Amino acid sequence: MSYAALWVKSDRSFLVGASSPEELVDRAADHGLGALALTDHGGVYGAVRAHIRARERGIKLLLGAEMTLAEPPLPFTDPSPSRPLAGPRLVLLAQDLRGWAALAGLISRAHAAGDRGQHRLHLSDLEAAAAAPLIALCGDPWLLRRLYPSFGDRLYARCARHYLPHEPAHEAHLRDAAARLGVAPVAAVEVLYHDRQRRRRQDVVTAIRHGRSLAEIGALTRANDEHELGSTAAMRALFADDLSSLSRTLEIADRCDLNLSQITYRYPSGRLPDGSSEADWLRQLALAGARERYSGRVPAGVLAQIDRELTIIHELDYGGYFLTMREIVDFCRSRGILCQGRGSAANSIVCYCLGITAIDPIRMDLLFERFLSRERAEPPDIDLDIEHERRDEVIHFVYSRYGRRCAAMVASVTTYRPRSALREIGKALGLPLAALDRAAKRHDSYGDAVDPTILSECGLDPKAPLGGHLIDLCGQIIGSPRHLASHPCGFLLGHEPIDTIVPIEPGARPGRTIIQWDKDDIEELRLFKVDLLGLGALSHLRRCFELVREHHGVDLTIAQIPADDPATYAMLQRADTVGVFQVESRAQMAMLPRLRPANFYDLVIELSLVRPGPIQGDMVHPYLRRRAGDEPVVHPHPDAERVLAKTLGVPLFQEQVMRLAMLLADYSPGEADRLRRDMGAFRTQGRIEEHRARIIDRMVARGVDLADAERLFGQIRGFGEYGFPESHAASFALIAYASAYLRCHHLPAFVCALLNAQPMGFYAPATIIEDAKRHGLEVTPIDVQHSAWECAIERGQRGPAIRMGLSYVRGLDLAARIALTKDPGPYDSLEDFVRRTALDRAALHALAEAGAFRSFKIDRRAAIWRARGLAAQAGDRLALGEPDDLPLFAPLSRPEAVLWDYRRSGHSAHGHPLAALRPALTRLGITDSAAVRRLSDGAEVELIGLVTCRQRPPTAGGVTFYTLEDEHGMVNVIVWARIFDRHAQLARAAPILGISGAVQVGKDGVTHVIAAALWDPMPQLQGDRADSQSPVESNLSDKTCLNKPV
Amino acid sequence: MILMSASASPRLTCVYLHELPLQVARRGAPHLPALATSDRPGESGQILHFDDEARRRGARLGMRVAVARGLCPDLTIIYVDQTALDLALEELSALLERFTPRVEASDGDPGAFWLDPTGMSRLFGAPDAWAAAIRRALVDSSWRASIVVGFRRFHSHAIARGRRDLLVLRDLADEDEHAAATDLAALNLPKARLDELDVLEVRRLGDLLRLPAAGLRRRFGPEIADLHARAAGLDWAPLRPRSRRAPLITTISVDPPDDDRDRLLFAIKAALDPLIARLEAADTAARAIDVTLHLDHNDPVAARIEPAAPTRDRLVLLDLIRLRLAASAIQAPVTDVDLQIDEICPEVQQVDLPTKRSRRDPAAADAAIARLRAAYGDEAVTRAALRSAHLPEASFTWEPIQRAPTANAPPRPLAANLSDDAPPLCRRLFARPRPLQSAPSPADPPPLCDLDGLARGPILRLDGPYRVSGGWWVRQVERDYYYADTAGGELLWIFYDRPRARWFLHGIVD
Repeated sequence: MSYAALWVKSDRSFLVGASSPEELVDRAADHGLGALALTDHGGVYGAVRAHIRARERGIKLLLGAEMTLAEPPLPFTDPSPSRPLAGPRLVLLAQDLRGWAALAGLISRAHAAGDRGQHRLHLSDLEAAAAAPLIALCGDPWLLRRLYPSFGDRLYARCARHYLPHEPAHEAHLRDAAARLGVAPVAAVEVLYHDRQRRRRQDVVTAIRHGRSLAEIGALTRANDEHELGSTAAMRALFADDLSSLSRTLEIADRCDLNLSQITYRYPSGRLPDGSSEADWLRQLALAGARERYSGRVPAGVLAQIDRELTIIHELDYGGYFLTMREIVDFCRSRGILCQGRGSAANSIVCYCLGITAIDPIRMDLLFERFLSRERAEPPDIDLDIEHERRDEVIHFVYSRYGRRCAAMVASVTTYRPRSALREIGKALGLPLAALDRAAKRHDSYGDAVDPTILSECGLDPKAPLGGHLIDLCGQIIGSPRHLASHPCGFLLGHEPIDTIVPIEPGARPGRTIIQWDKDDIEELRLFKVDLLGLGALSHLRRCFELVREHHGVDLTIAQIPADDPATYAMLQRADTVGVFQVESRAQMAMLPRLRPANFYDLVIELSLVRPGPIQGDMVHPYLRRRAGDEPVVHPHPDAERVLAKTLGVPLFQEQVMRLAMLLADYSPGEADRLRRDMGAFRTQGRIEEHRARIIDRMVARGVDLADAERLFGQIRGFGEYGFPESHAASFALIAYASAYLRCHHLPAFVCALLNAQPMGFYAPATIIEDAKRHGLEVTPIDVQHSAWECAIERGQRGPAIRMGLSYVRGLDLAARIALTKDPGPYDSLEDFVRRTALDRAALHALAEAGAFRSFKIDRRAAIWRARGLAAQAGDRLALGEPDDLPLFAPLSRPEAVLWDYRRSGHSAHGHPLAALRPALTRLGITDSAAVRRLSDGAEVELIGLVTCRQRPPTAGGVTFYTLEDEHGMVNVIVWARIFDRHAQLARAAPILGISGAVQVGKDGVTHVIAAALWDPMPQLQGDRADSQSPVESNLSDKTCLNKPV
Repeated sequence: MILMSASASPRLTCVYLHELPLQVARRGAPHLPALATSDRPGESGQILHFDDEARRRGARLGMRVAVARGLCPDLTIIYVDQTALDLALEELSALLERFTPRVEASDGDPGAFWLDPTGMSRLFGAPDAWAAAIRRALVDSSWRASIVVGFRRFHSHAIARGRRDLLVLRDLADEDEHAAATDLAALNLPKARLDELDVLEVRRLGDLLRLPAAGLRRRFGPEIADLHARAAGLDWAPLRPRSRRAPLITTISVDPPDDDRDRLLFAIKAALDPLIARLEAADTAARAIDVTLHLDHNDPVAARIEPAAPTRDRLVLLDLIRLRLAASAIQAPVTDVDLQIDEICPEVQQVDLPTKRSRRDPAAADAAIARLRAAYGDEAVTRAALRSAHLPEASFTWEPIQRAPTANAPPRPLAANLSDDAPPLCRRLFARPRPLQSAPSPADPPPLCDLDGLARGPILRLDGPYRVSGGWWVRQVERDYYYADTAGGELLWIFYDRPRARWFLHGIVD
């Protein structure tokens, strides 16, 4: 006779269980158990994973949860070492889908009543839920008596045995109470791990949960290791005196018949106008959209594709999903919020016609199967980019439109990585925190193990017993769940309340709710996820359009921007792209002069090329050589030409790989999509290799040369390191082009909007401002008489100028913002300003230091003195005066003013910090960036610049790329690993850097400096500017906060 | 040479020991290459002071001890506690009093002393010679100090903080000039204040003095305004030399040496009376009395005797001394007895209202505990305190007590409702589990028969096991506990230790 384990908690009972749901199911199957119930604490976090593995292993899975009752208090509770002050614990099992829905609702209510991450289950809620088919396993005599009237014969007395001394007396009392009520006893062990070897991990996670070390934790850990998933023989021995209670576990399993596959999920629908069906309404909208998109003349091919797509959408019953997306897009449009679909949705003509995406898939020849196919039969994935500043508005719309019970955000399970594992386990073991911190920082964020060598170098002996425990436990815990977080953008929507499918609990941010499953779980159950992503570039564009409308009277939208503007492409070819979406990075700037994009599709390729996938797949150089005519365009097979022609025979997009598989290796659309998924699973080793033999053999059979086939497969494998789908690249390219066009033709609006949309993009505001100044744009400083809170365009001496906003003054908080915007200038005097704004002393000091009182004809030091004095009288009803004499303060020199600007506002409208030093630098033979660009290949050079970018991409083999900025522009510097290591301390964090090296001028005119040595320029700078009072470095260090150390 | 009477204003000298905690630490460890001090013990403390070598190796002010240790492993970081500082200040005061009887130690700035040199010229000559003598004496005792012979309390102190040498100021104008050149950073101002003043180019005391006083208070608060006032010479306070009240200490010479406890007690009684009279005169009470017996050709015997509450009651003190003497092993005749009273101002107790009083007298209980401790030692009276642990012997600890615990209601047992009719089991644990005759496996109970010479008979029944395991991060423990009924009618508490593969008796159940 077997038995069923009815009280099993996985590691998804965060920091409680020590085995994954899969391990538990596997062990249950290995033991030949009749069933296993996964009852995670306070939720159903591991249910889907257990469901998948149970299906694979053919074992019956029961689903439920362990809940802790909020009442009554001690001493009635059954003892729980980990929760000594909590009420009794209860195991609830769902008998069927109705029971599951009731359980999910009950858990949701309990979480809503508790603090975040905790639940408070009230007895009244539990009794109300007892009407549903739920089985309760109760280990508390008092609770047993309370629940019997509600649960009746679905209530069992849970006799738990873990060889603890208090258990026999407790069980006797429980059995006595059960016998009086006629409740059947049932055998149970609280399973926390599948194997007792995991006891150590369980102890450690308990210590982490309580925030104590193992030495301090005392009796909060379990007393012994009797919490494993036991074999039938072990359980028979444990309950030898009452085998009937063990056999009753199977009786309970028989009473449960729940399979998560039975969940019937219906996407929200039913609010259709005129009583028309969902399909009819979608068709109407799509056709209306098509007429609008194609100016009333819809091509026959488009109509045919719309028909085809709508047929599939109808067959798969996905119409509601498209209508929801359309509804969200409509809401955004009605509120003037820019949004645009990205990802594979851009492959759909229906999405294009509904206004969800902006790319015409017919014109771009995009593959619909990448988005949706009958064989795949899984929900479509539409990602909607929304202005990042206004995403909350859309989220609140979704909540209000569908209701809190029908909409919740998808969860994301935060797992342990080497760094977090080292820190938390090391702390639990009582190891020195400083050494752990050092070791953690030296580990890769995404590794899968800790490195004993690094531990040793950081003073943690890996051969000592504690060091051994640390390595062993980190190995066990890396990749396992730590806590539940909110997915950054995913929503689950349901026609019926979704708390009948999965429990909902409060998220970290106030007002947000999350479900207890992550995106993989809901994908597995084919639930629909709506992704609402925040995109800074859209905020930037919207702000830019508003400024263009305000100052030029031109009403622009993304769609109205002239296509194929030569000036815009010329600017792109010059890599003059600071602030342009997606092509402003150092790597993209280096690629632009080589690729020289001349049309929209070139831009799509540009975006796709600088990605780890194409770089690792060795696709970049062949493409560039073929484009330059240095290499003939050849195709592996004549059939491949129509797939690869537009990328010169080199596969650059996921769709091309799918099409090649379909054309040359006889993959069906569904199989091709599986191939796409396998090559996208870049953190899962080996899945792409399963396709190797099939692809190469079939290609060779179709006449492809073996070497070509193998090279093609190598390129496909390269996509494992992340490549773009063509549709996604096209969507982004559209935004990139719009942003480039605005930069080219409306630079003031572009820069002003970019400064107001910060933080976003690649560069710090100072770099954006310096770049704008080099393009002749006047930037005027912060001034309370002229500046609004945000930057604005005003009439300058030479045309439009950017007036820096008060928001750039460091030290002004929300209260200051309200005060300043409530009563804006002009002001009669400083006294008038202080009286009207009533700002506090710190804010006034900040403004004075930033030079914002310049219009009152008062120097900054005097302004500080006066402002602080006036602040002290701000509460007086009488007129503000200045009774004491104004001391004489030295006015700021120009270099001082620049440094004060950087310190207080992170930029300077007065000049670049290095400009004042230039004469001294020239005397020292230091070259400026403009001169570097004029030098010939191989010239020796020494230069100094602010570090605006410091990158060490994993694909670069240890090479570090720097961008140094001076008053004339930027210079790209390449630092080889050995040079970096030699000057590691300087190379990692110096805000201002001196470089000695050689100029390298590429065939395409791109100039780099190859560093031979790095040096600290500060001693020279300070020695040569004795006139200046302030040290340069201390004032510039803040600026580099955006440049994360490598 | 400047004569003591060269100036019309009275002289005042400031002796300033920079980074006193570091100097204290350095004196205790003169050969360590790199030394720093922290603000509290442990790894979470912050670096307060450090020497040049420590700076070269990367130590910085405010750096966490753990970080500093990581940065330079051979850096020694010492926490100098208040007791060590007090001892150092006491030593320094005594040293400086060799040069003038009027020495004031600063309350707010440990390491600063003001000295009045008046009248010292006949002994030491001119002020520079006097100051040089002080400096030599300090150096000889391994102290480093700046000495400023000036005229005013604040000015001499500020100048001394800003330099590290000896300076004799000519006159008030000279003092003003030197004070004005003192960096504000040397005056221990908060960094935020220094930064705020720095932007106005106010970096020295002279810069500050140029600003209007009233404006400063409004703009930078009372702290800076007070500093300005003191720098302007607007405050004056008399020198407050330290109190020279003699400690309550006496020595009894026993001649001829004697080891008779009664005679010793009578000698102590006679010596105690004047000390108690001084207590009464000062309106203080004895918190403790330290008795040191100097033995003939033997090591002294010392004891600290604490009454239940601070007292001036001679009989109480004598009774406690008698009890301690009776319990002490005196190996040789006593030659001298030192008595030192640790005095304290007694707390004024509120007069009890004539309400219903408890029958228990806590004061009597405290007095009884004090007598027990006097008779049997400070560790004699202990109580059990619960600790959170699974191992039985780790689940409680014995802690000494000085007072009777306040009577609280006993905690209600966890499972009190479970077995109302069953009396609670009371296990008497052995301090260390006692090994029993080995059995080949846990399945075979030990052939228990003879232990401590008591025949307990064979085991008739075992109830268990109850498992305790864990402690793997230190030493793996795996025990199976059983209650064992013996033929002798006893209920024993035994366990099988799996790693050691043997049985132990841990306790007996009443």
